[in-house]
Amino acid sequence: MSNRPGGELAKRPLQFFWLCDCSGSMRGQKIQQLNFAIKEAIPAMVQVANSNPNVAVQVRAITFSSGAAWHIGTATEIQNFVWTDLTASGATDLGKALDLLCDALDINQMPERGLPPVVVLVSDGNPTDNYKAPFERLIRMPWGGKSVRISIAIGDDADLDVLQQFMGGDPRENRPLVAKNAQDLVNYIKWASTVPLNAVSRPASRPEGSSSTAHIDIPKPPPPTTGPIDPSSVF
Amino acid sequence: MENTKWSCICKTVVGDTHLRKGTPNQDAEQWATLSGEVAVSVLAISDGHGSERCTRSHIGSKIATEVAVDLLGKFCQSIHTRGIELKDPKDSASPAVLQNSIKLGIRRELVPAIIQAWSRRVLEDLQKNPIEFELSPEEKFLPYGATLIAVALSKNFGVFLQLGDGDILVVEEDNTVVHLFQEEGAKIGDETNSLCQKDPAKLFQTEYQVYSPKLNSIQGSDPECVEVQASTPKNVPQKKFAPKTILVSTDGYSNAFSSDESFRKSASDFSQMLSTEQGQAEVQRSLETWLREYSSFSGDDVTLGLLYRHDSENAVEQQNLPANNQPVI
Repeated sequence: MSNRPGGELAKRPLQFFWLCDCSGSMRGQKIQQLNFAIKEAIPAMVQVANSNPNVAVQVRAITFSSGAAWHIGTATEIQNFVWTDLTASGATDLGKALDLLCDALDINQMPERGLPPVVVLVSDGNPTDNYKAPFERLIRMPWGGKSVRISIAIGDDADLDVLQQFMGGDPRENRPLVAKNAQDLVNYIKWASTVPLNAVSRPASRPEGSSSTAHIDIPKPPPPTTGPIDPSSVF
Repeated sequence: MENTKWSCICKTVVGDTHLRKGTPNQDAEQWATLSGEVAVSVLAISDGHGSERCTRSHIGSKIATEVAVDLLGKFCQSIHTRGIELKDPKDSASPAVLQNSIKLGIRRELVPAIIQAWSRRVLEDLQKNPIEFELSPEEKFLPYGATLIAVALSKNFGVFLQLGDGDILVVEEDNTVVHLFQEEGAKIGDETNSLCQKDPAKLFQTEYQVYSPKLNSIQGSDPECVEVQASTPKNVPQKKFAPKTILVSTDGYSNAFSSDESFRKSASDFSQMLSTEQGQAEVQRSLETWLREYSSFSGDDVTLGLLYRHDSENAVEQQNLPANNQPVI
């Protein structure tokens, strides 16, 4: 038996959240492609997790339409994570989703010694409830303020100002990703679910307040898809 | 107990994540035992930030430990002189005056001197090797950004300094573990206070402890005041025994544990081991292996320093002195 001093050792937990718009406007191709893109991204997330053995990546998902709910409420290690397809109907209650997220990011709910959480918001529309107060709550929370927030717009009707606000930081550097077709969505979902994850998994401390815009160095996202695009895949 | 001495074991290992990225160990450590009027053991550790723009933080952390050991050692040796200058045998308030003088000296003289010396050395390095990317005037120290923890111990007193993340765990005589500066230092994520920030002096946390000849410690008080204060209920300081072991570490160490309890247990376990010669030898032999195991969980560079008290009858002479750590004064 080892004489190593101290109690139990543990990988550093990294909480990853999907916030998925399941409003009526997502019905049809958009929700199908979102389900496909997330399922496609999971093996890549597992790969990132395996290449950072000191990190335990734990995934949860919130859906919002008329109200919000935990789609996957138990923080599940990515190696055991299975995506259940979403369906779409109703309004776009982003504020209620942010409230659920805030509850999960409460300092008493989060694991000790965790890495900054990563939150990916995917939406195609405008919030139908009051999202401002929950958003203020989020960014004022210790873990909310430190979270890495990425937003992906599906199609041209998403409210980019809201998505920009969600991301925070300098709009010249951090812009919402706009997926105009199915291939863009797959590319952006894969980027958002792996690259920030990898950056957060390899922590490098920094002086407090040294950068209010980007507290984690995250490589740039891929450009939009070029070349011939199947017209039926355009959102 | 008059021959009480402090010994030190200190090691640093490069983090698992840094090995995979091919970056150097950005932590640094330095310690020295100073003889003279007041024998003092001084230990300093520092964690260079390692973020994208902190490209020279491994140099910044090395400079930080060197200037801290040098200046903290000199300051501690000056405490004796201060006592002679300030102490008036007819004045019963003298011990308190001495205490205040030392506390003020730490904040007004020592901390600014450390920052000034670090900044000067950084600017010298920048002049010799200009930085490869543009920096605004207020960012000139950013590439060298680093934290600092420094501890100095004599048989009569201890001085503790901390800027930024990392931990100081003090194991008392009764094996209770005190986490110094815990609340003030608690931060979420990977942001930390740093020597490269504007006006870092106000971000330093400091503590001065006095130990009685009987090894009773009255924090912030003088041993000669013990009886007077004990008879004055309003002024009775909380009595505690002098520390047995002091553990200092960069955050790569604490981040390896599943809980604060597991982390604090490590200080008790080390203290227990260091209470015997056999245990001291085992710590010497195994520390690097253990640090690699801790790093495999935190992913970060790990630096761990252990200062432990021993008395003349079971003293371990300077066998623990690492070859690369020579007294600087």
